[in-house]
Amino acid sequence: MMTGARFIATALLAAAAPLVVADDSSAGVTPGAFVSIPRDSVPIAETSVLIKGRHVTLSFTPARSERGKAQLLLQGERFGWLGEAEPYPDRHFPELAISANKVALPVTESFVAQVGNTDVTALLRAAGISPWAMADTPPFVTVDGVKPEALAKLQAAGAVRAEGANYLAQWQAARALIFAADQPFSIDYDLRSGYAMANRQALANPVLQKRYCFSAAQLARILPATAEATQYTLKHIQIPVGVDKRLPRVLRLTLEPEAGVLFVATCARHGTAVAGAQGLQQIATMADQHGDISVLTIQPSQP
Amino acid sequence: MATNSPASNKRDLSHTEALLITTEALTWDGTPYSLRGPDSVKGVAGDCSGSTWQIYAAAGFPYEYQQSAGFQAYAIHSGLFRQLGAGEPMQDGDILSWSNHMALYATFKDAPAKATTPRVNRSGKPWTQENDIWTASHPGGPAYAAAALKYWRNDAPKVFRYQKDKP
Repeated sequence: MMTGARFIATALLAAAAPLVVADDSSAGVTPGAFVSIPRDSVPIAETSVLIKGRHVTLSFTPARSERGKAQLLLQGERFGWLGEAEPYPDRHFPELAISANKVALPVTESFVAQVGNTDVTALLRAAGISPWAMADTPPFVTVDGVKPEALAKLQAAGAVRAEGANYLAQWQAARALIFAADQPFSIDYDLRSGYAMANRQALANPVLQKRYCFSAAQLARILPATAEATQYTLKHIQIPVGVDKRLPRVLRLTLEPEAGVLFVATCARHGTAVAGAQGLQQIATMADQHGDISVLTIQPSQP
Repeated sequence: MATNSPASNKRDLSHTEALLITTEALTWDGTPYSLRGPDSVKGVAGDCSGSTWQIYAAAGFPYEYQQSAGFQAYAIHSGLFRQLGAGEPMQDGDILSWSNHMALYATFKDAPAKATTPRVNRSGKPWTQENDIWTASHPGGPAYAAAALKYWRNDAPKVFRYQKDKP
């Protein structure tokens, strides 16, 4: 099944191509997926999602707490150098913070780096090279202090390519964070939402409306009347809230939209939750089969 | 698809004509990015498809506005463009097309001051960007500017050249 983030661009393009102005667009990025260690050892009683502008705070309350018995792994996506055109090159979420009672939790961080199917993690570690060098443009690799034999191994593995006097990262990497989940904890990070442009007529796309559980009448009631050619920026906010793809018993969403947002929609436990610029407050929301909630915001492309 | 073959009634833009496009693109330098499509305004705000469309129009080579996603199909069927073959040299003003982005190829022979850009990447390493495209960026990104195709994206574009009727 298509993930929610890819849905926005694909659905808008495929369902109403002549009507949709899908120009620059992005599927967006999430921090990854939560997996318990050992498996199924961290049932979540309640998750609260607070989205304030472009900042997200996820607050998890485990259903049971056995000190020292359970951990969570936040497994990030694997990515490589994407180019300067990429709006979200930092797909390892370097700013992400994990805390309990506002105190930073100890986190074990690791990464896996690959060139195709070849694991080059050990080579990067041996060379002392940051796995996230490929998130920059150009993806220069600092080789000062790297032993020549270590650099040669990286080149032989295809992980580093020489270009003139420089070396460029050619690998892909994924970040993993492991932390204790035996007490309520919070995760803070910056949104990297999907986006696309659509005209007013395209907002009537029934596929779009079904995906975010809003109706044409709700849209008309909240969004000021405009010409059909009026351009809007649609943003797709996808938040991972499940652990082991299991959903919390209680899932609440508060959304304080960015300036300029005129319409917000998400599927709620009791059907639909739509709002205008004021956003959503403590909505009992729903997650999809991947353990993610999805929220759509709409704002005029021209302020 | 229109071609430049003797049997076709179309011809590629000449190099002199093509320079009109990049000369106009230079006047968009510094236009802030905003996702606006056909409502892009030079010096105010704009995106890739809107800026490209308006630059072409101002240079005297109009076409019907297209979003990035629809440009390739339009280019092929409109009779106004031809797609360059693999390895075929680009010329100023050629449209570089991806599924969600457009840019303009430029040699910067008419704007040598923009041919390179001194930069420093996040690790603090200074480098000289050798530019060969004019492009808008993305939401939250820099303004319309000269850029380097090889560092712009990790996937190759399809390239389209405007054509005119042969006399």
